Amino acid sequence: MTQGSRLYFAVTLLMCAFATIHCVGLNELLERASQLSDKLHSISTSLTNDLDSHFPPVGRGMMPRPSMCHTSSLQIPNDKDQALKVPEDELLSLARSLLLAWSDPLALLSSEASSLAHPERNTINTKTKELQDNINSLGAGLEHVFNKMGSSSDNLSSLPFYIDSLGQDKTSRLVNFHFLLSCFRRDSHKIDSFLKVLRCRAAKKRPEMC
Amino acid sequence: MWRDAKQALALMLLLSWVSHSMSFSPAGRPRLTTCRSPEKETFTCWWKPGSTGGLPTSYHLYYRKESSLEVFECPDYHKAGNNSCYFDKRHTSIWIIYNITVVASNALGKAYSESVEIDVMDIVQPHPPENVNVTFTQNANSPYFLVRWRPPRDADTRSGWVTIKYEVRLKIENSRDEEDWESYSAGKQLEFSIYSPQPGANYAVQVRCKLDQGLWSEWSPSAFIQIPDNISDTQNAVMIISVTLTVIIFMLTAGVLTVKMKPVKHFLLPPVPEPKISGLDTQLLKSGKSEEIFSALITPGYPQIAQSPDHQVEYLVVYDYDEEMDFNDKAHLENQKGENCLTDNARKVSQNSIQITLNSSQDLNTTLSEHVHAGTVSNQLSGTSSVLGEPQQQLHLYCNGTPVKAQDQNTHMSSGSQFEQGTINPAGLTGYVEVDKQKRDQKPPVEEDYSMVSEVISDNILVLQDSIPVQVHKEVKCDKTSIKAEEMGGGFEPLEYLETLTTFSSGS
Repeated sequence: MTQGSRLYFAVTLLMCAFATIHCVGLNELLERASQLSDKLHSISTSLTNDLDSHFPPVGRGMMPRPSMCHTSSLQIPNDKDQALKVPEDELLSLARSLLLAWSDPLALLSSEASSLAHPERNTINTKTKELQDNINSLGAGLEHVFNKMGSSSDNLSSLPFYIDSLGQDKTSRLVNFHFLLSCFRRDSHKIDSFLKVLRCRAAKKRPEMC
Repeated sequence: MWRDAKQALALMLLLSWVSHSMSFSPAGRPRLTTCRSPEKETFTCWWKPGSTGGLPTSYHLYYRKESSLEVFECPDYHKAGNNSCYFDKRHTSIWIIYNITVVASNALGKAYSESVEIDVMDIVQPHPPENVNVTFTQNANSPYFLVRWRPPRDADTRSGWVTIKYEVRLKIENSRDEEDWESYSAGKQLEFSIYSPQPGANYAVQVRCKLDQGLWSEWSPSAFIQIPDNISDTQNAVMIISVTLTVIIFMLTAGVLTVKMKPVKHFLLPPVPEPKISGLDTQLLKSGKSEEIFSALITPGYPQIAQSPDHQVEYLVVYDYDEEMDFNDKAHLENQKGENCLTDNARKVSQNSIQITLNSSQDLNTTLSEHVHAGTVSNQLSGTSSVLGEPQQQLHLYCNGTPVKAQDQNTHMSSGSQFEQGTINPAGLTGYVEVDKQKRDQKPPVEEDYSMVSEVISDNILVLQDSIPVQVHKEVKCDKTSIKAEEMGGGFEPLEYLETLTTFSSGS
């Protein structure tokens, strides 16, 4: 490509990107984001049900504590009144932090799903991949929302995930898979709730959005 | 003392008997049955008591939150009824695991239930939707009935903390079968339309809801509606009729257009290709320009045409001994009988002879003249005439039964010179003309007699001459037809015999 055409292409791309970000209203962005988060939560719920359908009875009693999830250090509102008092940008940064914290663990889950010792392995594998796709889309969408909201500071909490393997034997792999998934399900519900509160707050003039 | 011991024993026996008959025992173990949160802000837990042991038993519920070791007791035992514990807003936290235990205690002892761990997010189940009502609307075209409802009480939809999704189901009331319910997802809306119901049926409609991804509520109580009998689904009938009419009209139009208009016909029913003779153009045939057709047909080698370098028109001249031919009399042209027979014949012959082109050499000249002189002209003439095959040029030569002798024409026909000289033929070439009879589709009127012919040079198609020399025709001024021939002859190009024939037939 010649220099001129390259320049032209770059300018067009910039204009398109500009238009995409700024011509879509905040309401639409939040609506789309909450749709994605709803889908994320519903897939994780159905995945948990699939796992539970054939879960070995021995693992049931040793349900790991949610406080052992790697995202438990994040301070979040724990009931409605608290949640309604949180300012919008903090709500958004909470949602984004949680989302960011799960991209690596989901990759691990995705890689382990194909070799899981479970009769519903294929379904689980498919749904895990779907989770991964959705989380990436939602992350990108929330970036746009953040840019649109124009907050001054970007205070994302870092929630590192240091585990790189689910275990050595089949049973421990299955148990750890189940544990990670339950943590994720909870966190996806948090993200969904926060985004829906945010959406409703942004659409003050249109109560039917809530 | 002995009496005290006896009394004590009796008392103990009595007591044990009494206690056996009244079966007092410590409290049985209670069991937590279910916990529910109707709006994600509060929740209630219920338990089932074990055996009471006959004694008044009290129940206490203790809970512990996940992160701390502090044990709390149930804040409200009464709001939700017996054997329940109601956690209000202040005491409800979501995304935290509660460890709940119920203790039953009576005079004889305590019993602990199994601990249950719950997270509020897992136990969300709303109340059913309220005020479900159904109305039937008869639109002109599409009858439908509308189901409307209100959200369940206590669900907070305005802050966005919960999102409610609804589901509607309906069935025809006549059957008692549970599986006849039809379910429809209604999303977040508060009304739902059902189109084209069965006339005369009695429908039962129910609605339920769920919050986020939680548990479905119970079905609301049924709302009933009776569809009247006389609804007509006119929209369908009208549409069917109009579509059918349109199709019929379209087919008729296409058919008419196909018949009438050639382009449409060729588009819809493409013509089957027919074998073509290269060079032969049927359109040209129809238009009558035979010279062009046959010129296109000419291929080298067919037919064998011996092109003589000097194209001449040669005539067969018939002499009339008895009478002078009267060329001035136009009436003779038409008269074919009586005295004018011969004249006519002669004239006709001359006419015909003008048309005949010789392609043979001049060897026949003298032979011809002799035969013409001596023999029966009739035969030859008839032969000639038959060759030409034009009805109007049929020569009825046997007028008087007398043979007609061919003789020199008078000056009208020729420049006055003798026949032998072939004056009609400016080039001096004369010859007998024989024409291929297969070309004729008409049966020759008189049988041909070739006995007089001594020699035939060519038995092929004759090639008509080039322009008939004008000066020859000049002599034949009185003959209208010959003049006509002159006119037509003047424009001749080198022609096939057939071509000329056709031309003349169309001309005359």
